[in-house]
Amino acid sequence: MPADVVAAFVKRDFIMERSYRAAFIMKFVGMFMGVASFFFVSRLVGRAASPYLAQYGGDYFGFVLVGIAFIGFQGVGLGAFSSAINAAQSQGTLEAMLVTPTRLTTVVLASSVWSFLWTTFSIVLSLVVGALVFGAKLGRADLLSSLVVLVLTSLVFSGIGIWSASVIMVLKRGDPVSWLFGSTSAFIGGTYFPTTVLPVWLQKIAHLFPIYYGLRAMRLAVLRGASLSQIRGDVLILAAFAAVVLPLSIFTFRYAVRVAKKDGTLGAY
Amino acid sequence: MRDYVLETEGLTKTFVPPTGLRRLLMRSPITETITAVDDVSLEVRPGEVFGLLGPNGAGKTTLIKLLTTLLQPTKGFARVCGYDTVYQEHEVRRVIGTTIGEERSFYWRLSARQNLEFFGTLAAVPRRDLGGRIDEVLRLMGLEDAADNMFYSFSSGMKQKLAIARSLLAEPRVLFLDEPTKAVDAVTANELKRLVKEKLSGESGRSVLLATHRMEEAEQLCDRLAIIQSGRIVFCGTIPELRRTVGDVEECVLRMQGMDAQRCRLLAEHHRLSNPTVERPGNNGMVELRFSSGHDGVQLSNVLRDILSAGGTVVSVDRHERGLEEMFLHVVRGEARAS
Repeated sequence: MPADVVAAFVKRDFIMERSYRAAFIMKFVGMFMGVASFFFVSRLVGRAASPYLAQYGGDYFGFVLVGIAFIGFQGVGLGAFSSAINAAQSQGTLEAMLVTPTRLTTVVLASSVWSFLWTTFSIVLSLVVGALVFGAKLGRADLLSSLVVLVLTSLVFSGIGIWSASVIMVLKRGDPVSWLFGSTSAFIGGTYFPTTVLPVWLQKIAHLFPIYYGLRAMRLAVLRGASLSQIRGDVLILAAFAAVVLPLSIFTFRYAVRVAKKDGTLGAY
Repeated sequence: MRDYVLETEGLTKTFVPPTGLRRLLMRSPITETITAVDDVSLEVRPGEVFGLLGPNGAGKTTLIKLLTTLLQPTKGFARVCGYDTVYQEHEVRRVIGTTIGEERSFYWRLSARQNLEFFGTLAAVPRRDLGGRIDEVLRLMGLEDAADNMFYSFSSGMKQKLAIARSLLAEPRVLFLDEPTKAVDAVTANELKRLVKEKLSGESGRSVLLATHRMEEAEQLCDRLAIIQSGRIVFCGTIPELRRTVGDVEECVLRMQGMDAQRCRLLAEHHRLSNPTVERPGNNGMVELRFSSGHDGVQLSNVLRDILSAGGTVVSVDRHERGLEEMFLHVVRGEARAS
């Protein structure tokens, strides 16, 4: 993907984001309020949750802080590509981009870079606020393991997101892929509670979702300082998910573009 | 073989309504099979302004979308500068500039310059040249003073000019202009027409494909034109060729007194006038006779002589050549009747 094209998209999105100043500020306030809310929920839950969280160090606040940060990444991975297409279709800019030599795949991938950057920034900020203001214990984090898990999980979510964009390309709205993953992952993957509190049959279903492995590995890396070799099982499973989902999703996306070009609905919404 | 910058052969685009699951999941505006572009074969030469004329829904925009790779043809092929629009779409997009007049095709919260920087990067204008190119196209379109204003503060005319400026960034060899003077006032329309004639085609040697409804625009700008009706090209050539095709005739309007309508009709019948109409425009005894006639004036002289010898007085004689609009309507209506 050409770097100057990526830079052009990031600059475009930054200028537009900055031009809505109130929304820009409110996002920070909202993030702070979210972290504060979970801090007080963790005080309410207190030691009662500790037996279920033993493998992550027993602290609910740190546990849930990593969970909500991670679900943010899932959200952007699942939604950024289809949102980029949807926005360009409804704004009317898609056809103007598609008559340039820049390929549609590049347009879609580059359109989502700002969302990933912004989400990374907000997640880092919420972890810093959680640690410095509310005393979350994140000091033991293994940065290399966290980074590897983050990259692998982002690739898997992006693959699913590109699938979702393919559906949007053809159906315009009502994409079942992001609906399925978006609505069930937070619950079944254990964002707000450990999956061990779920019934056994649901725990088995949770194993089918990449977020289960991503969250578990990330929590171990951040809260317990687990090294790559200690979380290699989860890392390998995430890599396998990425190796299957990404090529399949790019193939599906190209097919969807061909269908839209045939139907004449490329710029329609 | 002649080198054309743009050529199509048997180009056809048929839209079919969705079936199966897609029909169930999404309501489509297409309820029956529509052939929007039907067996179109045409060529555009280097440096010429080629007009594409047709009534609403004739298939002009669909044809432009096929040529600019936004749509895939059902049958036939199109080549732009020798590149196939399906198999070499990337190469095609490197040599074309497309004015998408739709004002929503810009980012409203970005300035004109920021919009051009963004689209220029996508158009693969080298980074070192981009600033200079932006200044150049803004100057060409007379927008240099508004370069740093947000797009949403622009008037319709300025938006249209910016759309043309954007399409020129990568110095295209073929420029597609879809209704460039739509939604602009007469002053801006004239300015845009002058630009197309002098700067975008004339001096630069670039080929321009201009889709328009406006006949006077086509007449002033186009070297050749194609008339499209129900997806089919019903005429392709120069305006003099069109004139020959529809008949080298002019319209005569005679206003006279001292002749009643019935006598005028008999006169028209006697001289076998073409398309005669007789009207009484007022209550002052005036009668108006209209008919089509050849340029030589023989038929008109004979009619005038008979009016005078019958005791009538000729008040006025008006003759005018058929304009492009009349010829266009003649072709389109003739085609509609034939089909």
